Amino acid sequence: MIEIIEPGPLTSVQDRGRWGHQAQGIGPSGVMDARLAQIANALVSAPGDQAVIEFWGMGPSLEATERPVTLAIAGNAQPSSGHPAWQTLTLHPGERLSIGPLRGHAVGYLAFANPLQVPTWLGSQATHIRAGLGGIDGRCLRPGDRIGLQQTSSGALLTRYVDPERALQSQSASQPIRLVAGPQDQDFEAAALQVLASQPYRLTSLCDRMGYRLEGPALKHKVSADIASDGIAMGSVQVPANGQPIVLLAERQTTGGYTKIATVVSCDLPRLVQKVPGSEVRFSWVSVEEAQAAALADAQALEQLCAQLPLRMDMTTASLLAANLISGVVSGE
Amino acid sequence: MNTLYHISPVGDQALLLTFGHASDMALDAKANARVMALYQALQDQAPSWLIDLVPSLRALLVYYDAQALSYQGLSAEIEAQLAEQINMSDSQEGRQLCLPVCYDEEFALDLASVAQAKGQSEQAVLDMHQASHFKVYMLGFMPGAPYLGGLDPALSLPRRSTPRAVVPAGSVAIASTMGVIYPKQSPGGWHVLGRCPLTFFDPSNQEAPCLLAPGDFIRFQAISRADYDALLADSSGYKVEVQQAVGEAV
Repeated sequence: MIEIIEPGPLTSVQDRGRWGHQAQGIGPSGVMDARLAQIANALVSAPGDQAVIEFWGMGPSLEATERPVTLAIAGNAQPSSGHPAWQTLTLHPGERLSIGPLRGHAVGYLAFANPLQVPTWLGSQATHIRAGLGGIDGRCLRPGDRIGLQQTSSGALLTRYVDPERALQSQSASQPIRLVAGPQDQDFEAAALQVLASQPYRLTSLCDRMGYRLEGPALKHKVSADIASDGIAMGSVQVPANGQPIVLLAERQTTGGYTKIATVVSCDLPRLVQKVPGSEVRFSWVSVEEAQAAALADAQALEQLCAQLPLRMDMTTASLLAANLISGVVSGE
Repeated sequence: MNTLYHISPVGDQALLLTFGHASDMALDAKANARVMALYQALQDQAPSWLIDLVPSLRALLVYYDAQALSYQGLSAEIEAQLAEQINMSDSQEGRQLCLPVCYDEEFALDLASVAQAKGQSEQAVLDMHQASHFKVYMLGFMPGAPYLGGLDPALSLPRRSTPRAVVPAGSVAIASTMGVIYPKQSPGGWHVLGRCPLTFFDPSNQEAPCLLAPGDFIRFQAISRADYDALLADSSGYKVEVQQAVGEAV
């Protein structure tokens, strides 16, 4: 079991989302960066779709209670408790992990070797915070929340680590975010499609799990920004009458009545999602065939990365001991 | 039936089929009937590549497993299904539901203003509302919230110029050429005519959290305040489904 001491501003239980209920207005929600969540799970040898704790900006402080807890942090944090990110960790009963702020990117994950004991609702443990559904009472984590862990493995996991630059795709961070045109690209002036792929846009401060509002040159509609409401996908680029694009994300509404000029290619969503407000973003157009080929290649590369995470032999005990000696965080309950 | 359609990719993981044009805001019964026919067909077939479906007023969003089926493959599949349905009649099968509504003054927040705007008596407005054959064109906005086509055109009017900060749960409202029901308390700009005591979204019911489904046919029936209170306290005995019927697309 873990106990949340300080959750951070926007920390919630997520998995790959609740699919199959959008026809009734129930959105999937789920992790914002599916790639990083999968890597976090790989660090604790868990299935890629196992539920994780997602945090924004500032990670939680939490304590292991009763039994040792095997977990991993995927996110550029330097925990004040001295625990390293990007590798398998074991917290002993009474030991506290304080993740602290993320540096240079938006979203981090905490994965657990033993699955989180959070109710499954309509086939998923994901929290839809805006709708108040799923996860723990449909809400963000709070101080004092205690979450059980299913005792499936016998512990004694190997310590794996991942190169943060590879996990966060740092080398391609400045590459354009690829877009597939449609479904309402024809409702825009031809110049708007050129502008979107040639001019830089900037993330405003209005970025959350529902969507990221961008600012930049206005994208002009031919006639109107309004349409008969239709379905919205993860990564849909919606443009209301002011011409400023909004990329709709995990907690989007299932349907909406504004034109959507394009959709972000799925394997580029992690690079977009991890940008912080004020960051510049550039877009480029690809065909749907190119997008599907890119997504397939990316999925295969990610599988391979996760399957071949290097081992850090004999380090668990030594590094934890060292960390504890230095920071002196071990305390009785 | 035949309606012009347009197929577009929605990124690499979804496809949108639109009947007519998305910017055509007019409710289109035939377009929606075609959406529902394909939605129901795909739901029944449950092909292995299908991940989720979002039917809406005149479009169907199809989420699919692109590693199992390419965009071109799915487009061809959709076209083949549409060709099969080309000779379908405009009539549609669907559940026929009767929803009880209490139109008492306390609940009918906008009845007087609607009657005034339309130059009708309040009773005439309520008669028209109950005589309208509604169909669930889509659910959205919030879990379980239906957009209902089929409002008597004589009741068509724009939304309130100032939306309400709080519309109570169960409120039955109209605006434009549609009806709506608010499953939960929420802000809203539609004209509220009454309140229904049934539960439209119940997350504790994992089998069927939403009372309504796309394609349902709906009539409203007036109930007294006493019946409203009784149903609000316990609606487990209320039979919402009238009959399995073939309804005309409206």
